[in-house]
Amino acid sequence: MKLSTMAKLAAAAACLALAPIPGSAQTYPTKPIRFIVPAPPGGAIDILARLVGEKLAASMGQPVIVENKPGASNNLGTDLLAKSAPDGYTIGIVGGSHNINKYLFKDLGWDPEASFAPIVYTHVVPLVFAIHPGVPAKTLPELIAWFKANPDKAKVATSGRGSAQEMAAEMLQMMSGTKLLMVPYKGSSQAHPDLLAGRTALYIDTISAIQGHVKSGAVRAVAVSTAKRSPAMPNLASADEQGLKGYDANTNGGILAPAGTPKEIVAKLNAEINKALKQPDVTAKLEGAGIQVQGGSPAEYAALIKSDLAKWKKVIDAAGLQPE
Amino acid sequence: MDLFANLALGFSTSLSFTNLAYCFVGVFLGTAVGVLPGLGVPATVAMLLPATFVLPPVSALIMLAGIFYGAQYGGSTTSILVNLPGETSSVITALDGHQMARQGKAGRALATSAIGSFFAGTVCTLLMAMFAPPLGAMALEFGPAEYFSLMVLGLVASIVLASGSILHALGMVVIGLLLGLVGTDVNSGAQRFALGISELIDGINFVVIAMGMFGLGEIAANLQNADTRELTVKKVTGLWPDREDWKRIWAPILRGTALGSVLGLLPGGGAALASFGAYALEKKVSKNRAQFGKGAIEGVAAPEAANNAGAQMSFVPMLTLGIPANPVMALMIGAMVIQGIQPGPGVITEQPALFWGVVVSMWTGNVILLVLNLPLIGLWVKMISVPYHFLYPMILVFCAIGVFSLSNATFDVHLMVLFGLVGYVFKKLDCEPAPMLLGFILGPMMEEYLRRALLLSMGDPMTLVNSPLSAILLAIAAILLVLVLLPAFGKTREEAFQEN
Amino acid sequence: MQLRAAGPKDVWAGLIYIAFGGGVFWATLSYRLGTAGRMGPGYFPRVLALILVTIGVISLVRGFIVRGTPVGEMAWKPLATISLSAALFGLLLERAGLMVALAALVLVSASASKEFRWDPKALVGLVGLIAFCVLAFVKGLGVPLPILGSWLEPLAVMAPWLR
Repeated sequence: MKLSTMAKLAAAAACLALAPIPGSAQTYPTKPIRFIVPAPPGGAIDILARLVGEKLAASMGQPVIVENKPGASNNLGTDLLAKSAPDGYTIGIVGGSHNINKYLFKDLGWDPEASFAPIVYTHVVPLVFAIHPGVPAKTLPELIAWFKANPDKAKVATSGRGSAQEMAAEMLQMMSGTKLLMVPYKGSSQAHPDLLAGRTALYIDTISAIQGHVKSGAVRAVAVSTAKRSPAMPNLASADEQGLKGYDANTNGGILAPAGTPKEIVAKLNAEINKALKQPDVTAKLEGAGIQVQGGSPAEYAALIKSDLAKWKKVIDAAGLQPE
Repeated sequence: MDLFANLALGFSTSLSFTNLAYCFVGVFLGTAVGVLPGLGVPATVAMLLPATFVLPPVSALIMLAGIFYGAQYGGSTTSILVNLPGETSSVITALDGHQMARQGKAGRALATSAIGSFFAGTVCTLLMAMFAPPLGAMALEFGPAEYFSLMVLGLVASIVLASGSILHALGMVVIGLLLGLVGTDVNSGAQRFALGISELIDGINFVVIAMGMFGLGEIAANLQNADTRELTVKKVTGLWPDREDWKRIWAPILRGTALGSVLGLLPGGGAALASFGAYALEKKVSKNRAQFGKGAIEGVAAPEAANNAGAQMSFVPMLTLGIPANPVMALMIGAMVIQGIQPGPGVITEQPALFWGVVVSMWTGNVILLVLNLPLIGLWVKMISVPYHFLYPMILVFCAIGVFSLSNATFDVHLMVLFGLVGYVFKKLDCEPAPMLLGFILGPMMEEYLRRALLLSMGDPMTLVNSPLSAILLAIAAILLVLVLLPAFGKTREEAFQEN
Repeated sequence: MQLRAAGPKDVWAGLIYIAFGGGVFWATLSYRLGTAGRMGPGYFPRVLALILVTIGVISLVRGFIVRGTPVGEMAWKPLATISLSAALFGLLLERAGLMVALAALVLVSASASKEFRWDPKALVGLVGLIAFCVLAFVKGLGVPLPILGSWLEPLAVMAPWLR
């Protein structure tokens, strides 16, 4: 029985390749690492994954293969990561939707905390309150007052259900007591023409997507969404500074492994990725695109996920959004 | 004159050895990707994007742009030769182009397509050099109401392009519109018709349907007809348009270029309508309208010119406003951002060499494409004389790999099989796939724009006619619909009389 | 499947339109309808479904009145073989890898042709095609197609470049 011998050999080889041998963290990695990006190429997390992946491959001596698995508001790729073998050979990067989707989708198939072992907090992208220049407001309080005086003109562009842009607008509505008409678009590039033409009044968009229009004067920036000012626009006061105490919205992300990945491997990846994030060429490229590089320990990232989940749950409950 | 200074700057940038080389790489890759059915341009650009991080910004953009319009050339080749459109625009080229190929006129169809595209490319380069900023500003005049009305006009045009029964064209358009709605609704986030399948949450990819209906369905039908062992039934007659052909194509190329360059400026889906619109227009104004659908050379010339014009003009909103017209442009914006360039109106003044270099490179790229493609025509024509039983498994291989690469999912391959079965049945019932595909593209856009227009107007439907632009578009659509339906009713009555 | 109607193609097409439109209409019942001014996710598809059913009824009626051509013979066998070959590719790709999946796709689909026979020259062509696909798509363009798949993964120990 030639075939069964072959099959046994193959099975044995498979066991050798897959079995977690004690102490393997010392020799890790011995084969290529798969790096899942749950979004299409070209976006913030894709750029980050490719830059970090290149450095990781160089420092760990094994290829790092970036694989885009876009779809369903990042849920498809995230699901794939959650269900991969927790052996350190599959890692993934997630964006802001990771801490929001739990409350907006039915039957997600994964939990943002329980299904993953956080490796490192990689980045944060601040949002900018961008208004059409025809709106007579220079600051956030003026804008809120104008919205209250002109409820029929309080039209706010969003990037669709569950986007950071929508969440930031809902947070504004919740904290300022205004009534806003949310106008959903598929993304920044679809929303910009209507904002530029004045068909919508406000769009709270990522700094990377909107800063070109701010510089050219096509839109006016009135506030930045993060508690601290952004180094990319240091003169722009934050919403918190302008009176909306505690307003803090952003889109952030980090690198995760499936839950159950050995601690030693997570620690090694954490160290290597932290090193990669500090390389000047990586930092320069990311900051140029409006992405603020972070870093830190796995525990710090886990704590951030927990606090973000709590924050968005409050906003989603206040807005009365239901999974549809 | 500024124009000459600008063009000179553009030529000196785009003709540098490095940039010329990247332009060549771009259009060559683009042609290859276009020729291979199913392999999409967005996927290719996405895969190459990281490689461009290390290039100078101008070279990166020149190469990515080259892939984009190079694929438009390549895409027509496949649809003419084997009736397999991998791009929205090539669906139309396949209608008459493949019929010409079956009549032994593949060479003439390919040459016409290349000449039409080149002419359109030249005109558009000049237009961009002269008027780019004001043309870009025009794009902002189009709001949701105007886009909705444009889509209505596009739908009417899609009925015109059917060569058979108008009733079935309508039916197929509606089926296409419905298929386009599969997936997540932008307004509410609701998942529609996804049947609990997570791969359907983002909707169905156009390429999956096209490869299924045109690839699989067509192959099954060809295998049934024993006499089509080779795709070309008749002897190949000439590789180049003759005097008669030239007389027939120059006007359609002009009209196609004009229509395409206007529609291409609209980032919200105008370019997708360019080739459909040009074909419908020719079918209404041409003297040879009876030949349309049976191998009319005008049916290749006009949409190919319109398509290339539209593709090139869609760079205008991106370069002048930073607004991408399609996923490929969005990726190019990503490439610019990574290079530290803020896309937007500032590009022309702050980065003149980049702006003019890219604009002029489109013309040099078109020259390279012409030089690259014309000699290949002989080779292509030989390729379809390969016995069909060797050719079709290869077509299937490229379809399968291409469809997989769309989102790296085997689900799409199985979905393609389903559409192959559906496509075959429809073919048997004389229901044409082209109107369905147009409905598929327009469906989600139409709904999105209509709902957004009504949302912004607080539910007032008059918003659709209050803007003069929107009202004019709707009026043209209404007139066209009447023109289409009148002869149809007449014909049905005639047939009914014959029946008696 | 010969119908005793004047225009069987119109009848069949009409039935398909009605079935498809009816199915869509049924599916939209669970979506929020909204109003014409503020449409919910169910509004647009439900209107389209009704239009499609109407077109279907017209086609059906026309099929019984106006004479048309009969539906040609269905080529079930080639259709089934072609579909099977592509489905096999989808099933095998992630398990047995690209090389096996391609071989299955080509051999099964080719068997649908009357010209199909085992020919050494054609087999060389098949090997060449597989080699081309591996080099061009996986190595060249970087499409993440598994060359070996999960079943054959252990073989990578012997030939790491196949990964």
